[in-house]
Amino acid sequence: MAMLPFSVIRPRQGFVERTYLWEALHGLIVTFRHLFLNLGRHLLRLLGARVAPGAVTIQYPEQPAVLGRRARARHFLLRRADGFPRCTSCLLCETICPAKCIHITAEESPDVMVEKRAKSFDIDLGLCVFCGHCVEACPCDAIHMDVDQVELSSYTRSGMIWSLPALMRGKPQGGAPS
Amino acid sequence: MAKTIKFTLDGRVIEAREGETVLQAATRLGLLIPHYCWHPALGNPGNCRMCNVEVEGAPKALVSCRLYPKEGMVARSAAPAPRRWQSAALEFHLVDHPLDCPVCDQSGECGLQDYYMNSIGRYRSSMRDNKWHMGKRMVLGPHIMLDQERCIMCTRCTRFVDLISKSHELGIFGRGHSQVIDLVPGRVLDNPYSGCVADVCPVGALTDRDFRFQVRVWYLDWTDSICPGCSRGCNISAHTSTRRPWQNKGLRLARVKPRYKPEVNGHWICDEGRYGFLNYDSDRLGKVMRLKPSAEELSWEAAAAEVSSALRRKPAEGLAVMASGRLSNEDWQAFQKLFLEKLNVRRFLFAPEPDQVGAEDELLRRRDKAPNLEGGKAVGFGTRIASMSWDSLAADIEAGKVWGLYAVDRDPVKVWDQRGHELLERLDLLVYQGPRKGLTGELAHYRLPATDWLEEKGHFTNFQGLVQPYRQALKPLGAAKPDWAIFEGLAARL
Amino acid sequence: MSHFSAEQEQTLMGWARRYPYRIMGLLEALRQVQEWRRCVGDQDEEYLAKLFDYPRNHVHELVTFFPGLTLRPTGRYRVGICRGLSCALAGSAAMCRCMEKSLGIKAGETTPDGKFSFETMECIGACDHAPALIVNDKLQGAASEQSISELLERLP
Repeated sequence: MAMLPFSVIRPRQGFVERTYLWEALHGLIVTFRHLFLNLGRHLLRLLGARVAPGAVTIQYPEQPAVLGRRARARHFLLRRADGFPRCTSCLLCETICPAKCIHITAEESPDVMVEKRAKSFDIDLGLCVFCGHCVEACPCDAIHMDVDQVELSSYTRSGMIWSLPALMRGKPQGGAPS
Repeated sequence: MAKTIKFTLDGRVIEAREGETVLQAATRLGLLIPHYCWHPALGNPGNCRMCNVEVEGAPKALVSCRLYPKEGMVARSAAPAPRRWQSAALEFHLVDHPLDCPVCDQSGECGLQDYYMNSIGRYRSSMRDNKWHMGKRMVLGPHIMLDQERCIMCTRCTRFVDLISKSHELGIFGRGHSQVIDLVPGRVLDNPYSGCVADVCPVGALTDRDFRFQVRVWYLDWTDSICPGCSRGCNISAHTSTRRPWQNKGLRLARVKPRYKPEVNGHWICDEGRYGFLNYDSDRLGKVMRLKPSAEELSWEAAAAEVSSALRRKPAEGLAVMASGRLSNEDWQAFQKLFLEKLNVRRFLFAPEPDQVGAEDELLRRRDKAPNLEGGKAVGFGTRIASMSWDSLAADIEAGKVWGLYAVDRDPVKVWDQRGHELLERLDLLVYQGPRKGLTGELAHYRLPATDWLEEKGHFTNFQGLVQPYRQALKPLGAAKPDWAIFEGLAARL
Repeated sequence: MSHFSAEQEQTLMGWARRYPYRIMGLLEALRQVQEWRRCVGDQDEEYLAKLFDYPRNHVHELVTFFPGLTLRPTGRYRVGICRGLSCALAGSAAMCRCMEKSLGIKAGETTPDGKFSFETMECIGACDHAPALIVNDKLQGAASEQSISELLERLP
């Protein structure tokens, strides 16, 4: 143990402090104060009074999850005016993805000004870390993660792989799991 | 002692050789001055205006590709002023250049991207007007696609078809704003070196149709190799796609590009070699098999034991061995040790199949489409030992003089057709060793999987006697081993 | 087997022999062919490429570079309205539309009977007659609705 370059001044503890009984009682007083205050608040709210809520718990899934404005949820592929996905299969999102969960193959697009489009576009949501790099990397603003759909579970691993039609489906209605 | 001219470039004293321009000297010494239109084999037209340098005493920018240095000249290419000129030239190139990076195959190896990202680009574009539109997705020939909008008029492609392939199919037509690269009316870009125009094009105007949209270039690994297409042994770089196996349709070889070797192939390769191996992964063997009398997968030890004893079962003069110029020098050494020294075989066939003799021209292509018959000559095959012909071997099998055949990467059924089936049925032993099943692989008694040229390292000796190494680019498939390893395994048991 | 008459072939050969370097005569030969045929076709280019020992792609480059040489036949009367700055300020765009309406063809086209072809031309240096109107390399003065209709009636 190296010598400290300065000394720590420790005030002498009194008898009561050293027995610690007072501190334990003090802690209990704090806890019970919270209990009775919030109990009171719950009761008053039950009777219709407008006071602060007694707890911060959200009764999920009856109440929807509250997400931040910039929360990243499932991926959503946007469409062009003619209905085809904006994605030109440039593979920038696939390259930048740190989890390597995006798999894209390319094909010719019938529109000569566009030339290229995605033949297949698969994202393995089981691997995805929801970092949002794919959204940043896309030069065509073709992929977003702002749909706020967080119920993404599946009974199988392969069910976690979303392909092009699933990724293009719109926002779900309501907060209940579909 | 050749005369050299000393001049200063960016603070470094450079010795230029007689007749060298500033750009040539700088490039030879590894100093980068940005340029598009200059190519070591295609002359220096000086039309892209990217290689601007500032020369003390000169009133304005000079293009270094047309500038012959004077003794004591002081030039700068990385100073603020020349960088501004280079940036302005780049901006002019980008004026009508379409925003095609997401869909352009050249992305990742594009001259415009390279200079733009490396401190010469202006990130704030001043473009306000609409861009000029021209032809896109135009098929020029069996291998090349043209996008006129992306072209920067460096004329490398037209100079290539004029100077190198001498086929004169392309030109720059029109003037000013509406200049385009196009085919001469009535022509198609089908010369035997058409793939090279996609190599020289610094942008995505001329692209490979076979490579189109298959895989992004930053996923590729490059390996130095030698093209096994003919006896010239052009130096190539094999670009393989193994990092994202779902790209490139799952095929591991994405494309082949030339490497510079002045004595052998210069900067070029022919279309036969460039596009001839794109089906590299098809019909591959990976399991060591005994097929007759009962089909069973074997380990290499068991197979070596069975095959080596089968080879000794009957006299050696009834044994015939087929080989080809596809064997590397190492393969030939082991081949000779096994079949000549240990087994004393007398009947060898290494004559080419009909599709292994083809067109020859003054540029690169050779008649002999096997890469390493010279390597065989070094151990006596083709000099002391002559090859049988397909007919004489067929006759010997028919006459019962041959009881066993060992085929190394040769497909006798392809040559002998239906007759091949009945001939091979007569044999007591047919060992087939090779990377692909082909038509003969079904009929073999023993089928030994071998690696093909990208999965092994070795040496080819070309027709000039030059020994050239090729490196391993891919992992072997399944249990496959290099040919020499298989030969050595057998020889060890004899 | 060329489609030039013997006399024409002689003329072209004359251009090939005239200058110290054979290729110097190519442009004049092309101009001559344009004069005879009102265009330079594929076969003409092939013939001249062989005559001047010059690759066909470069011959085609010359033909597409100069507006005076055309790939498709111009009319017997090659009508042009200048699109230079002075003429543009004087209203050449409106005159072009008027011409297109009068002839029934767009700029760059030839009438079906082959009599007229119309194109906009780069500045011909006749700013004092803006917007300048030119037929078969002869200046006709300023274009106006009246002068255009007069011209079209006058020409046989």
